[in-house]
Amino acid sequence: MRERRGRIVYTAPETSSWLTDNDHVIVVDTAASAAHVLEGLDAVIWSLLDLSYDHRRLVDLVQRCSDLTQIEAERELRATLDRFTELGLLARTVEAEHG
Amino acid sequence: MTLRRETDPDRAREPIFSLPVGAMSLVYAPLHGFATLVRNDAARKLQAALRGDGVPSGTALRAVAKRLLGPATASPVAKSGSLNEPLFLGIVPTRGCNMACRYCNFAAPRGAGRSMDLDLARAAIDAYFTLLQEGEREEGQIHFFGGEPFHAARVVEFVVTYAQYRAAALGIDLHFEVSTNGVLGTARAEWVADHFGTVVLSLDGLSDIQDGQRPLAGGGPSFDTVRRTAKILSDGAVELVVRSCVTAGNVERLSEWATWICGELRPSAVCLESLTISSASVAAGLLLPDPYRFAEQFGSAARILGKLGIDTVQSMTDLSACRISACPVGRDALIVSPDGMVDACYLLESEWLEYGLDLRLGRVDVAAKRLEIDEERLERVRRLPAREKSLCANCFCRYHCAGGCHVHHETSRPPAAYDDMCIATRLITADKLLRQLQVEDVGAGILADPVAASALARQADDHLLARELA
Repeated sequence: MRERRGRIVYTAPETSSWLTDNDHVIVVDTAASAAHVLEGLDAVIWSLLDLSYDHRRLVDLVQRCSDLTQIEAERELRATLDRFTELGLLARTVEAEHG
Repeated sequence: MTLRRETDPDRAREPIFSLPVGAMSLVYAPLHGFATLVRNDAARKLQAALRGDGVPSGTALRAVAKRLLGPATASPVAKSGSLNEPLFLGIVPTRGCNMACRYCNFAAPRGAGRSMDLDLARAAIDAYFTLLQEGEREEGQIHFFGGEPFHAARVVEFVVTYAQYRAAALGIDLHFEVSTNGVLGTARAEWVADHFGTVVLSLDGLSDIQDGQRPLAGGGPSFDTVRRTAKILSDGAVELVVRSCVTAGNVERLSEWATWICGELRPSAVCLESLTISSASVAAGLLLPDPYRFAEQFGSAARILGKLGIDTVQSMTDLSACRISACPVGRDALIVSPDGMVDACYLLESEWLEYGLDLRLGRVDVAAKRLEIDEERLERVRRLPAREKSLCANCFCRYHCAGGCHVHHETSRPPAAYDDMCIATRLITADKLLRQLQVEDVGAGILADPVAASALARQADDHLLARELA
């Protein structure tokens, strides 16, 4: 799973796996012995990240799903990515630009 | 001179049927949910019982007579009332396709590639959920049709993501189903396996058959890619249905095909459908399978697949319920096209119009997020399956095949003027009933005997009271 914005890349740890159910996503990190249940917009954003969409498309789809304005969707996405990172669901790295 | 008691005409037309199975009779009463295989002399006694000429002796036969004279469920009728129990929401993301199947009359390969706008998709989902809520329904279904739905993969992904999100908020248990050609990348196939409840995957046979009948749009082979998709889906949690189109070219290889499936995949069902003749199939020189050969080969494949618990199905021979339509038409399915029209049928509009049918129900009002359904059209479509189908008047399959496709199958012909579709349907249905009665060998024997198969398939009137039993 990767979400690129400029050179920022979000990656799910190799020790994690996830399962999409009808109304939620369960993310399990075997290394941390932790399970997280994602619901609502969190589940939407995780599902869209799983589809490897680029940042612009992610914002567009979060906006379409949620009735938020583009600025609000952008803010929501950023806050969610930060929270996922804090929880250890995603690792944030900065890749060097080439060329 | 023989005196015959006059039979009550209503009773004579009751749907209690009897079919010749060699020296035996397969008695079938669909509305009673009952079937049995009896000797012809026992069938004569049942006729007498139905005519009121006495109760048969023998405990078993008396029980059968009692069952046939007992209550039956009502005949299925056309839907009525408000539109708050839709069968499913159908989404056609695009009519375009990445394959060039030689019998396909859909947009491919002409490539009407317009994709559904995401605002339209969202409005259709919102409107569908509103209907479910009005009907206090807690379950919903979204089915994808094409073209090839994944030719507009972004639409499918959005619909699944958004619909899951909304369904969760509304407490609706949602089921997704897609009909796909399986030309998918590995990642997409894995996503489908994770997110869909049912996948109907078109795969016609081994590589020579699949590549011959279902080449890619550029003419290349498709078998290896679709096989990989099938394997991913088979290994996933999704319910996989392998759908194969049967032509004169592959009908004799259905046993081989079933054996291959058993060795490679674990589908929940294999659907074997006869080719539908189209201008494309004619141009490609593809021919219909002989109906007798199709029925026999269907039975052979079913016996092979059945050993692994895999169902062999065909849309015309679903015995699980009595119905007046074998397809979504008339059952309040709401199928949304890329142009925002809501139809009762997933075939192209031009196709139903060519046969004098208008299956349009209305349109999606994107701004209002609601469906504008024309009540008059809805009622007309609902009544369509209940129209007089003279061809089917005396046929024991009429509560299951229900006359077949409303667009392609003409049912206003005289009773018993059976065509190839009818013959295959009658034989496969009878064989299924015999398998359900656990006399598989009897069914196989009938299908393998041209005289016996013809006697069953061509019987002019299946009503038990109409048969002259030797």
